Amino acid sequence: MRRSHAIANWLFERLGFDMALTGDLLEECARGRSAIWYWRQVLIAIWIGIWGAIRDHKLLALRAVATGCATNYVFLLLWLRFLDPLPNPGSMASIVHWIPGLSIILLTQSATGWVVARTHRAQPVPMVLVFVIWLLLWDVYDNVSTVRMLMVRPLLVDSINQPGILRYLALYLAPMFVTVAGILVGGILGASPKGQLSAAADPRGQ
Amino acid sequence: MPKPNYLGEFELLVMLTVIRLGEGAYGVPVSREIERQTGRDVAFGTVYATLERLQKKGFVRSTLGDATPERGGRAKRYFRVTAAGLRTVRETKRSLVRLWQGLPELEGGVA
Repeated sequence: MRRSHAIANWLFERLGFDMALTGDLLEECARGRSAIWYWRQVLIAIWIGIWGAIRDHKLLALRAVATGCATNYVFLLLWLRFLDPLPNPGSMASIVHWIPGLSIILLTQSATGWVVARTHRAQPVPMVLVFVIWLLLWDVYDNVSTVRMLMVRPLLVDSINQPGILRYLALYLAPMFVTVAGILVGGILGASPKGQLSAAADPRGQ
Repeated sequence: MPKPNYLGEFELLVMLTVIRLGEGAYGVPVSREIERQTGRDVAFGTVYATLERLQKKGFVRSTLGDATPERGGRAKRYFRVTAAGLRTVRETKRSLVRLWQGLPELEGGVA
């Protein structure tokens, strides 16, 4: 349970929550509440905090998406300029290209997450999550279009039963997972512990 | 003419609970009292988010108490209702009573 509290505290600090809340949760645990109850409370608080931050800062959310896209565009240009011999990350067909390709994606996307977090210091984690959600939606939209195109050509239906389809699926999906992981890691590293929310801004009272 | 302030359902529950608890109103007793009075499960995060919103509106103010070992060294945050908060609770009550009056379906205590 001690480790749970440490993780929750770490998350709450980065989300800028009122740390009196963690004290309240600990107080309830000392009175016999279960670990499940504790984590349910933590997850609800995180969900409410993130959703509230996005709802209250819509323009900041748009700016976060724009910042993330612009940073990724710069990395794409650098990729094309300096790493042109490597195949595009979305179409890495060979395992030889896979590891260095994924490493570069992890590195660049961590940098993107870090940039988004550092340029939105008031709400770093929620804004990084907004960018991740936008990127995932864009990827899903892109993939749905591709799948539709393949279905029309019956390529996908034919290839499902082919040997090695799982390997190709892994090659196809891995960049997306690494992208999300990279952005989140970079975002969390870029989000230094914040001062608590306004409720805790002035210890002498408001 | 100033725009009247109204409270949402959960905001009103929290305000009434803070008033009821007086000087001992912090996260734990506020959540427990709402659970006891309404019978519904209340998440601490929801209570804190509501209290933060009410504080931004100027309806409650808060002060930090002492840190205790059972709370992992975290201080309690005590909440008190402000004069503006009390006024708003009264306005909300008046509005609800006006809406309540003259509704035969709600008279006599039978659902």
